[in-house]
Amino acid sequence: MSIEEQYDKIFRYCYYKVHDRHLAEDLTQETFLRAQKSGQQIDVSERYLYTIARNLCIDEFRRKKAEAVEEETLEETLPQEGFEASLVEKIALEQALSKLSEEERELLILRYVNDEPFATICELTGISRFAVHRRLGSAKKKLETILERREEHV
Amino acid sequence: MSKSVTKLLSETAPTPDAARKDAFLRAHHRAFLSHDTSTKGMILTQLRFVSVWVWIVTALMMVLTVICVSTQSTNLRDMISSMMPFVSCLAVFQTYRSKKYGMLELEQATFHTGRRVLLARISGIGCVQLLCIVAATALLGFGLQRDFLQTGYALIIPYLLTSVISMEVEYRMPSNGSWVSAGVAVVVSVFTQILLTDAEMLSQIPQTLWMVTLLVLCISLFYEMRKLYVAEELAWN
Amino acid sequence: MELTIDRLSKQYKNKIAVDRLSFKLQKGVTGLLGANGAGKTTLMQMICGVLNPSSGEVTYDGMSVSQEGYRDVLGYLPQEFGYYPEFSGLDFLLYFAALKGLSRKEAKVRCKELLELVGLNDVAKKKISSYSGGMKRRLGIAQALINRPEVLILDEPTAGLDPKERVRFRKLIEEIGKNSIVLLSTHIVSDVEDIAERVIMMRSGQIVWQGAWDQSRGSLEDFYMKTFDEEVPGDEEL
Repeated sequence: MSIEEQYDKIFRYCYYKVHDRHLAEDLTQETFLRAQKSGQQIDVSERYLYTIARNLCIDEFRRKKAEAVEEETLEETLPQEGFEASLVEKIALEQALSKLSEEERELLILRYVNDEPFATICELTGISRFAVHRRLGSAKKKLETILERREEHV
Repeated sequence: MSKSVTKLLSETAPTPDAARKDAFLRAHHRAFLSHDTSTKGMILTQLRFVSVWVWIVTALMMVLTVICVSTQSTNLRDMISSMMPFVSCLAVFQTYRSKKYGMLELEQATFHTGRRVLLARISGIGCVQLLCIVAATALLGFGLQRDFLQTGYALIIPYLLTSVISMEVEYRMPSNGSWVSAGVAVVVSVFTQILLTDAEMLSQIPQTLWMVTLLVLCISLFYEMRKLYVAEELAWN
Repeated sequence: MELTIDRLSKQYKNKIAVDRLSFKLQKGVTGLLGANGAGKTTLMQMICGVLNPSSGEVTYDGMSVSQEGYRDVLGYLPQEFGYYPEFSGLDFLLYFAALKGLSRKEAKVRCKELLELVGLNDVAKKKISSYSGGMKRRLGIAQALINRPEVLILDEPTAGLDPKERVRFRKLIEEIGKNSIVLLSTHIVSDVEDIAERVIMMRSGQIVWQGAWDQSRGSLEDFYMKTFDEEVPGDEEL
C-alpha cells in the first residue's frame, strides 16, 4: 500500500464524514502528522491511520455541533470538471447517504469505497464480524431503496 | 436502479486536490520514504523495459534447439547457429536507444542514471542470452552427440561477432546504425551458414583458430562496452 | 535546504558558456532570465549533474551533485527531450518512475496522479507522437515531479503552452515552491513575474543582476529591459 493510496483512502473516509473537501484534506494531513512517531518515521499501518482519522472527525463533529450548523451545503459535493453525466448520480447518492445513520455510512464507505477487509472494519468500529455483515447488508439495502424511491419521483 | 449501489459508491468517490497532496507529501518526503532504490529492483524493472522481441527471439532459439534435438536434424542445428547474429543484434539495438531517441539528458538526472540502467539492461540481456547459449550447447552436444566445443563455437562466435560489429556501428552511426547493424547480422548469418554446410572447409580450420577468435571477440566486446559507458558521459561535452 | 553554486564555470574551446557564477538558492521560486545563448541551459545542466563543470562546485546541503542522494531529490525538465517512439504518455512516466526508484505499485498510482495533475489523463494511453507541443511539455513537467523533488530545475517549461495551461502551470509551481527549491528559466518575463521570489538575470555566461523580487518593485519586464540596455550593475542582495 503506497503512501499515495493511503492518503486517498483517508481523504475519502474523512470526506464522507465531514462532507467538505477542504476540511477533509486538512483532516487527512493532520492524521498523517499525528501518526508521526519518534524519530520522524511515520507509522502508516491502515488501522492506526483510520483510528486517528476517526477521532479527528469526531472532534470535528463536536466542534461543528457547538457551532450549530444545520444544513449541509451541496457546493462541497460538486465533483471536478468533466463529469456532468454522473453529477446527478453523485448528488443523488450523497443525499441518500445523508439519510443513513453515521454507522451505516461508515461501513459502506470502508467496505465499498476503500475496499477495506472485514478484519480492519471490525477492529476500527468494534463490531463483530457477523454484525458487520448484517449491518452492511441492511445499509446497502436501505441505500438502494432510497435511490429507487428518488428515481420514482423524478 | 441502473447501477449497483456498490459500484456507484466506488465510482463517485472524490479525490483529494493533487497539488495540496503533493506539497504535503513532499514536505514529509523523508518520513514516508518507502520506495525501492535497490539495484536488484532496478535491474528487474529494467528488464521489463527491454523490447519484447529480444525475449521472443531468444525463446525461439531455445525452442528450435529442443526441436533440433528431438528430430536429430543437422540442418536445424546449422540454422540455429545462423540465427545467433539476429539474437545478438536485437540485444544491441537496446543499447543506443536512449541516445538515439533523445532521452539521455533526462536519464542522466534520475536516481538510477541512464548509464547504470543501460549497463544493467545489457548485462541482464547478456546473461540471459549467454545462459541460453550454454544450455543450447549442452543440449545439442548431448542430443546430437557432437563435440561440445565445436557446437559452442558455432553458437557463440556468430553471436559475439555480430555483437561487436553492431556495437561499433551503433557507436559511429547513431542515427542509421540500426539498419547497418541489421545488415551486418544478415551477412554474418549467411557467412555462418555457408561455413557450416561446407564440412570439408570446416574440418580444415584448426581448433586453435576458433579459440583465438573467441578470445579476440571477448576482448573486443569488453572494449565496446567500455566505449558505450564512456560515450554516455561525454554526450554533453 | 540550500543549493550552493560556487564559482561555477564552463568553458569550451573558444567560448566561455558560464563564467564563475556564485549564488545560493533556498526554498521558493527563483526565476532565471536571459536571452537564448546567455548560458541558462548550461548552468542548469551543471546544477543537475548532467554536465561536468570546468571549474567550481555545486552542492546541496553539503552533498555534491554527483551523489545519489542528490539525484534522489532532484527533478529536471530540459528544454528538449525525446521519447521512445512506441511510448504512450503513461509508458513514459512509468519508465522514469522506475529510473527514479519507485516500486511498480507506487509508480502506477503516482503516474496516474501526475497525469491528472497536468491534465493528460484522457490521452495517457495514446502515443506521445500524437501529442501537441504543449502536451509534450506538460508530460515533461509531470516527469520532473515524479519523485516529489526538493530541487526542481525547469528549463523553459512554458514554451508551447497556451495561456490557460500557463496559468495552471504557474499555480502548480507556486504550490511546489512553498516546500522546495524551484529554479525556472525562461525568456518570457511574465511567467516568472508573479511567482518568483528571486530573480537572476544572465547574459553571456555572467550574472547581470540578482536579488529578491516582489510586486512593489514594479514591472519586472521593464526592469529586465532596462538592465540589459544599460548594463547597470544593480543591487546584489542575496
